[in-house]
Amino acid sequence: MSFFQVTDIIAIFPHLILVSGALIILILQISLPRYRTESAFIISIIAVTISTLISIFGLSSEALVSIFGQGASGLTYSGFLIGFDKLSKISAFSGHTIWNAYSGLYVFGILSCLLLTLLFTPKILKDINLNLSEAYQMILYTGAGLLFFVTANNLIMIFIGLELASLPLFVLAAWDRKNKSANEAGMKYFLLGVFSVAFLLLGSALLYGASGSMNLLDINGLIEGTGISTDMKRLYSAGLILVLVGIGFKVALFPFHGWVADVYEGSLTIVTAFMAGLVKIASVSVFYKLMILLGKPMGEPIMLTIIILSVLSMFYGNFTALVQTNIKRMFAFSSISHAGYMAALFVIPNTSRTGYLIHAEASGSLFFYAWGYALGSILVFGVIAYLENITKKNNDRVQITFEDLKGLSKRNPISAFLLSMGSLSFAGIPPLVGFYGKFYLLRVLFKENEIFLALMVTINSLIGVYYYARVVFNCYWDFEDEKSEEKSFAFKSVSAWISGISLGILILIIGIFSDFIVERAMFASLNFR
Amino acid sequence: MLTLSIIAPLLAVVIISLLPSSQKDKPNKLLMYISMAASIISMIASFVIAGQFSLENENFQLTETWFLSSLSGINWSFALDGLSFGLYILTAVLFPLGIYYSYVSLEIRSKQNEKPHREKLFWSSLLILETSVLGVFAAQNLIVFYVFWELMLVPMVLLIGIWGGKNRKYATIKFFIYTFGGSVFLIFGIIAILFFNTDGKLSFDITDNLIMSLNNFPKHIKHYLFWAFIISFIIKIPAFPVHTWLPHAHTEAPTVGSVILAGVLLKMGTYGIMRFSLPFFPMVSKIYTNFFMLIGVIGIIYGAWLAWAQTDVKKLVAYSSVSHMGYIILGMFSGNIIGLSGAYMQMINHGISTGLLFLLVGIIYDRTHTREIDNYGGLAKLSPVYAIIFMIATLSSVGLPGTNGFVGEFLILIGTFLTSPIITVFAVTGVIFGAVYMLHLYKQVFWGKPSEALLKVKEKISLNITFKEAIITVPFVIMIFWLGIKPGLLLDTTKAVLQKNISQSQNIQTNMNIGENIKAVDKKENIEKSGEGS
Amino acid sequence: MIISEIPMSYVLILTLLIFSIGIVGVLTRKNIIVIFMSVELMLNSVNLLFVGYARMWKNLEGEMAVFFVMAVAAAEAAVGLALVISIFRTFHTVDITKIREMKG
Repeated sequence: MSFFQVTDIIAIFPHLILVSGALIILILQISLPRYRTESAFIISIIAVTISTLISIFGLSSEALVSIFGQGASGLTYSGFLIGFDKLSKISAFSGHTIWNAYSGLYVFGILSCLLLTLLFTPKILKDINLNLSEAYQMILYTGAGLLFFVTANNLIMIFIGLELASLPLFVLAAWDRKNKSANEAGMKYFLLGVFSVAFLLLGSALLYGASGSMNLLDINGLIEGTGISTDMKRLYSAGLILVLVGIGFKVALFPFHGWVADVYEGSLTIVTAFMAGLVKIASVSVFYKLMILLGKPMGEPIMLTIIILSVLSMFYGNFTALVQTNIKRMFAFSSISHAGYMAALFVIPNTSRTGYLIHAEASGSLFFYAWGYALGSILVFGVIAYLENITKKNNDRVQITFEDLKGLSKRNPISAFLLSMGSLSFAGIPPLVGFYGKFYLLRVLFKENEIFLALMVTINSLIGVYYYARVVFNCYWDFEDEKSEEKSFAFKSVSAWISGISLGILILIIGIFSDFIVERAMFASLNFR
Repeated sequence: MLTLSIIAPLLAVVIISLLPSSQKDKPNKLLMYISMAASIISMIASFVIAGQFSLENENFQLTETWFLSSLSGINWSFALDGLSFGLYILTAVLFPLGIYYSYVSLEIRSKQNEKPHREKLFWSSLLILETSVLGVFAAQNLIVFYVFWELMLVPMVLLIGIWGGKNRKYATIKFFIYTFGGSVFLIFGIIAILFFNTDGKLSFDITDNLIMSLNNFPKHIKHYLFWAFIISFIIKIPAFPVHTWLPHAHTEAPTVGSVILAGVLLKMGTYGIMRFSLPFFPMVSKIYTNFFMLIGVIGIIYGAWLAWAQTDVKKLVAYSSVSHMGYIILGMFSGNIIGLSGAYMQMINHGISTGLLFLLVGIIYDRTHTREIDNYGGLAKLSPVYAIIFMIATLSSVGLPGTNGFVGEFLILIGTFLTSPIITVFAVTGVIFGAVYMLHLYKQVFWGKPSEALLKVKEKISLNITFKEAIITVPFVIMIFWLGIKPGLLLDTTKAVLQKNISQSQNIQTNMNIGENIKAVDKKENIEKSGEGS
Repeated sequence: MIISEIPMSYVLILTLLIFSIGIVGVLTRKNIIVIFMSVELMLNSVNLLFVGYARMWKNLEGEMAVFFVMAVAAAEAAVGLALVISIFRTFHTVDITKIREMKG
């Protein structure tokens, strides 16, 4: 018996591509005498593009056989566009990692966001003279870690994936190493990240103690079958709550939000895009997966707690965002409120009165919301990163405030347009993707008779409109005329142009094609186990 | 064709945004040509549609379907029926005129050393506005309707906020908060339809199925939904208690903004009531008929009084709008075909006559830079052609027989009389007040000796209306008399659909009554049985 | 006393005790390095629990987890200490209360 089987490799194929991309960069960096940083970018782009393409189109069995030989015959790696209807499932590493449609969905979500964020990166790093190839390695490791995180089927794999994603992000947060606030942000992110992971770990240990296994499907089978014995039930609940607390830190739900504002503000803005977009979509997926697979014995009081946390996150995030003057802080607090909206869906699978289908619908709308949110935040933070570099004087980092945005549409029309579009999408103005996300979310809540939550979401969206509209007003309204500074063109780099434009188009049109995406997401969530 | 006419302005926006922006003292002709071309394309397309439109058909016709979504129920398809047809054509005609006027206005202003200001954004906003308004009238799906309804906010806020007058900040924020606040109720109502629908397969398409299933909802839910819809609409109209955003928005908006606002944007509210509130909730709207008629009458009289008290020409016309929209509300809630078709007629009329009034005020404002009535006087001598056109607009607004305004008001008053004679008595006084303030305005501005301020202006620039400006007003004048003499042209398009709506509502009402009677009988029998039992 | 006679609850209580000491350390101490040590304490207390449960359930999953936790903790230490050095270079202190660049 060999250590590795072909199925193991296939199940983590995109992850492996990312990791090997990072390793190739490392090897080239050491071995090539005339090595240039650009090649690191190119290699990482190639790696991410290949794995994104795999996650979109999948690999047919012929392709797998031609890559891996006869051992792979009979397997297919389904992609988002092709093969999602085959209900394929690849279980690898004796069930520690499972590739199924649900995790494949989020693999696609994460990789697409990773690609778009990566395209923004080089010019920004170049502008602050920190365009080192290690940055690309860190980004690739983060991506791989997040993929391990969402494909995990074992509590320890969840832990390892989360750490593999977080450790490079701690480094990236403090990447601007001479800057005080970047260092502080890195430190805070690190301490709170490690602190939360300790809770996650304690929770996993307790779950293991209560059920005798760390495999999620095994625990789920136990729950569905004999059930947790009554004397272990408390242990089980405590364990699950601790695990959810650990992931709640990453989702930035209300009582675990303390790090968000400072870390988002202090880190390099492009790193903030990683945190806001990629980490959130991944951790939301795992949160929901845990709720479905393990949440059944938790009972009504804990569901009520999650509802309360969700509502508090909405209100806290919105009301604190209202009074901010710093744009990045504002988006940071608003990300807490978005976490609250998404958390409203976490309760659906376990309080559902209408059964299995609504769970699929909840999961589909969760993916759509999270993905749309991630795209929006990448766009917004990417544009802000460029604005920072344009407005900075004598090499100090600056923070963009609402004052700085005034007359932006004159000075930098493309940035103003994209920034406004991102904000309006967050605010839920149709026909942008944010509106459709909220639409599907409200639809699920209405169908499930959660009128209270639906009302809270609506009220909070209304509050949100105020500060998001402020961004747009500041961009397009010049109260004091003729403050015309020299015009600057938005991105100054081809790759950032590609990313910015494609994000803009995506945010504009995927709402209209939401049917296609949500249908796939729903189908994927039916194929959970 | 329908899609072409909706999308053409949007394509022009893309082209405009790709052009390099140049800061010159003169207005950019190229931008104007592009926007004119786009709006004329959509006008011609709308005329082609008009040729294909069948008067007998009472349902949606000329349907063009794009993206179907069975999951969300949001189908992107466009279609017209009798209710939207006239408004659609009016919009398509009004926009090229407004766009051409803006260019002429920019030219005249640049002669007085006023630099054009962020032109690319200006033309883009106008074109996006056109798309959104056309989309609202052609939407066949509730969510698509809402999408365009909201899209309208963006260019309008920009138009008022960037190119507006001195108090533009206040006006814009007020406009935004009122309309956005209203539309939140609308979206909540729309999505709530899904929730209360029991068969689970409902799409947001506006069909008879939707109407039937809406009427199976519990009674109190229907009341909530009715209010959710109508709050948004009466803010947009705007009806009496929520009309306060209108005068500010009108006064501060640039002329083209006011023309579009009066011409078609306000009609979106009344169109919404005719399209959704009345057919969707016939029982509930029957209950609130008197309430809304009262609101309408208060609007008529209050608007007229306030208009009389204004010293600002634009504000006067704005308040006259409030008064006119009161008539439309009256007509819509009268519940018979005469009142409804009168209301529909008045919607178009108001667009034409008030649009023309705002245009004329803008034309003179470009030269004098004042809107105070006291600064004017004796303009008839200085600018005779202008005075004649203004007279026609005034008479149409007052409702002189022979102009379009008369037909609409007359039909509305007859329709209202059939339902509620007392309210009609009060409404008729509005006609008199209307004549009073409009003729008062005309007297102050045009007759008497030329005022000092005007003479001063005359030294700098000719007050006489230019040929280009006169050309713009010609279509308005033609429409005023054409519809005044031959109103059947417009009324025929909407007759079929109005009749269908009314009979449908009556069916629903009788069905409901029968249902309730059956229930009552059942109850009685049960009681009797139980009585026997004991 | 033979080791197999120790009841599971003892292990659990000891773990929670050490874990709480870790939490208290994180929340009250000012020196970043001490905070970091407290976090390590929390992680290692969980290791104890893993081993205890592995013995209780008589499978190897828990013991396997310990190795992963140790490896990850080592990686964490590398990153964390690097960050501490970077902090000391910019702030000239490792007192967490004095590292306050941002407010809001």
